[in-house]
Parts: sequence; structure tokens; C-alpha cells
Amino acid sequence: MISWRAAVAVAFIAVQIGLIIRSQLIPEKFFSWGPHDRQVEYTITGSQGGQPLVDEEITVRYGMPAKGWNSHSEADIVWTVARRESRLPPQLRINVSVTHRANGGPWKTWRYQAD
Amino acid sequence: MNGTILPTPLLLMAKIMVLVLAMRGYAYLVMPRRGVSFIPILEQIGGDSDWRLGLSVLFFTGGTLVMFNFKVRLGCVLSGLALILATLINAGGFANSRFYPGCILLLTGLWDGGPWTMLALRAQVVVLYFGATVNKLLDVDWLNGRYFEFWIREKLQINWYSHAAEALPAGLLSTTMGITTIVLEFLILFTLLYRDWRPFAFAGACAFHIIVFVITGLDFGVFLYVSLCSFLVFAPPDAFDILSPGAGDGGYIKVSARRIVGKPVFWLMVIPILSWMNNDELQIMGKIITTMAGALLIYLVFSSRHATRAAGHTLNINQA
Repeated sequence: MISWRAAVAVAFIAVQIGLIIRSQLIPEKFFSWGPHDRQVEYTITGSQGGQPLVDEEITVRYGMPAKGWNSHSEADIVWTVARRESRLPPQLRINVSVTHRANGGPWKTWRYQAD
Repeated sequence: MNGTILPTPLLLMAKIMVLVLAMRGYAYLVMPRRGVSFIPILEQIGGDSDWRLGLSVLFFTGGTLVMFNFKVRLGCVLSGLALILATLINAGGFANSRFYPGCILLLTGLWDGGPWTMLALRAQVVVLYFGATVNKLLDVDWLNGRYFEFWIREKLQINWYSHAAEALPAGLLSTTMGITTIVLEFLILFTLLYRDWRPFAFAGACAFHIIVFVITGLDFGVFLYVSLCSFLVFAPPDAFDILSPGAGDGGYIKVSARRIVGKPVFWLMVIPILSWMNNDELQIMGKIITTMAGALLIYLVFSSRHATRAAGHTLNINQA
């Protein structure tokens, strides 16, 4: 008979293995256990009612600096920004753009339109 | 025995992790506010700053229990949960250097002396290297050298690496570095799976992490220290008693009083302070010495397994 502690511990490991496999099938790499496998340079800009947000507002809104580096995946940045906006009431959503490049590759831009 | 329910290597590992995390500010300074959560319902509970304070209290409470040998498993669960929740409440600040010790501490707290919980704890280390290997293997930038070319030469701007790369055919050094990293991580993963090869896994991990550190000067938060420290889950439960013959139930405190073990432990504790001085060279030296001291300590633990075998052999002869 397996104890409840053992059941929780084994399930915890099984979930992680599942997340590693899943991360190879989707762009996001949060739980892939691949630290510093990608060097993504990015800039997040946003505007509300035509007024651009300052860097501090971006940082508070998305929990990450407005400009900087992400060591997992550009998709992680996009996921975070998209989730924040989609979870807000429509009147609080803003237009956002994320400009990024991975491993020194070409710059790309992802946009979220609140309107 | 060490006065707690945990085997000494696990207890020592938990204490070192809690101490290192606290010293590097993971308990409060870099404990994140709530941002975009992986679990939406967590965004409905409390305020953003409340989470930071709450998780810090949770970590401190757990860490205190661990450091004072009082209900250590509960302490490990609390401090581990604090780090895991800190990861889950802020996708924008996702960091393996927070999540990994969280997982190890949680699983240490779940340890019940049975084979499954120990297996899960050891599997956590295997899972780390499995994920790292798979990610790199499936990323073409690691295979064609582009990752290293950009990371080391453009982002970190390490001059000696650039000079070496220019002296060789284009891309050769970076491609070699990328493939060597994948091979090394795979070898660590592979050698972890067989008990007699685990010392090689640990030696490989030391070599890998220290070489990356020497090249880049980065310790990735506390990842360098906690990843090597987590190899203590493979140490035999009586490792420290064997390292300290005659100490009886001495545990690691008596072991640490021995000169050969005491020195690495001393440097392990003291040098990190030096690492935070505003001098790059001192920082790098401090981190290298700390890492090597930790590695030496864990090597001593691993080598004690042979002492276990020898002692068992002698016992069998005497009994015969």
C-alpha cells in the first residue's frame, strides 16, 4: 500500500514529466526545465486611450520589466501579456505590442488589440 | 541519526538550500508580487503585495523550522510550497532558480522513509537534466552554434571567447560548445540512472556547472548551488556517520568539526558573503571557491558509500 505522501510525490514528478513533453508540442517553455536555453531580447509597449504606458506601469501590469531578457522563450512573454489582457474586464484592456528577437535572430512584433 | 526524522544528507541539503535562498534574498527581496498567475483563481485571492508578504512569511516559517530541527518535514513543505507558489503566481517572473529548490524542498518534506518518496526525490534531479537535454536537443540553435554565438559573443561579450572563435573556422567553437553541452547533460542524465555511476554523474555535473560559471561568470541566481546541492539526495542515509567514525549519532555537526569536512563547510558558509562585495573578481573567486567547496563536501559524501561497503564486508567476515 502506497502512502499518501508517496502518492503526492510520485504524482508531482509525473506531472512534471507530462509538462516537459507538452512543452515540446507548444511554443511556451515555462515548465520545460530548460533554463537559459534561449536568449530573448524584448520590449513591451502599451497605450491606453492614446497615452503610452511608462515602463513602471508595464512592469506592474505584467510582472516583468518593460525591456529586458527572457531566458526561456518569446512565447512565454506573449502568453503572459495575452493572459493579463484577456483576464481583465474589456474596459481596462489596452493595446500592447511585444517586439522580440531570439538568439540574435530577426526582430518580430506581436500585437494585442483591445478594441 | 541527527535528532530529526530526516536522514542526515537530506537534512543538510534542506538547511543549505534554505540558508542560500535566504542569503540571496529569495525569502523576501526577490519574492515576487503576484502578476499573471498560471492558475487564474489565484488572481481572485488577496492583493498583489499580500502574496509577497504571505509567501515570505511562509518561507521564513518553514525555513526556521528546518534550521532549528523542529518538525523539519513540515518546514520543508512550507518553504518549498512558498517557492512553488511564488512561481505559479507570476508567469512574468518565472525562474527555475526559484522553482527547482521549491520542488526539492517540497519532496524532502514528503519523504516518509519508504522507497517511493526517495525515488520521487531522486527523480526530481533526473527530471531536471531530462528536461534540459530534451530542450536543447530539439532546438536547432543549439546544434548549429547560433545560441552560443549570440549568448557568449554578443550578449555577454566575452572577449577571450570571441578571439578563440575568430581563430577557428566560423561557427566551429560555438557549434562544439552547443553539442558538448547537450552531450554532457545527457551523460549526467544517463549516469544518474545507475547507482554505481552516480559519482560520475555528480563529477560531470560539477564540471558542467563550474565550466559554465567560469566562462560566463553567471551563477543563475542560486541555481548553481542548489542544483549541485540537490545531489545529496543520492547520498546514503548514513554517509555522515561513516565520514565521522566513532562519532556514534554525531550527524553532520560532529562531521563538520573534522578538518577535512570542516574546511569545505566553512568556505561554503563564508565565501558567499565575499561574493556580494562590489568587486567583480572577488565575486567570481568567491563563487568558484564556494562551488568547489560544496562539490568537495558532496564528493566526500559519495565516497563514503565505499566505506559503507567496506564496513559491511568486514562485518560479514567477522560474523562468519
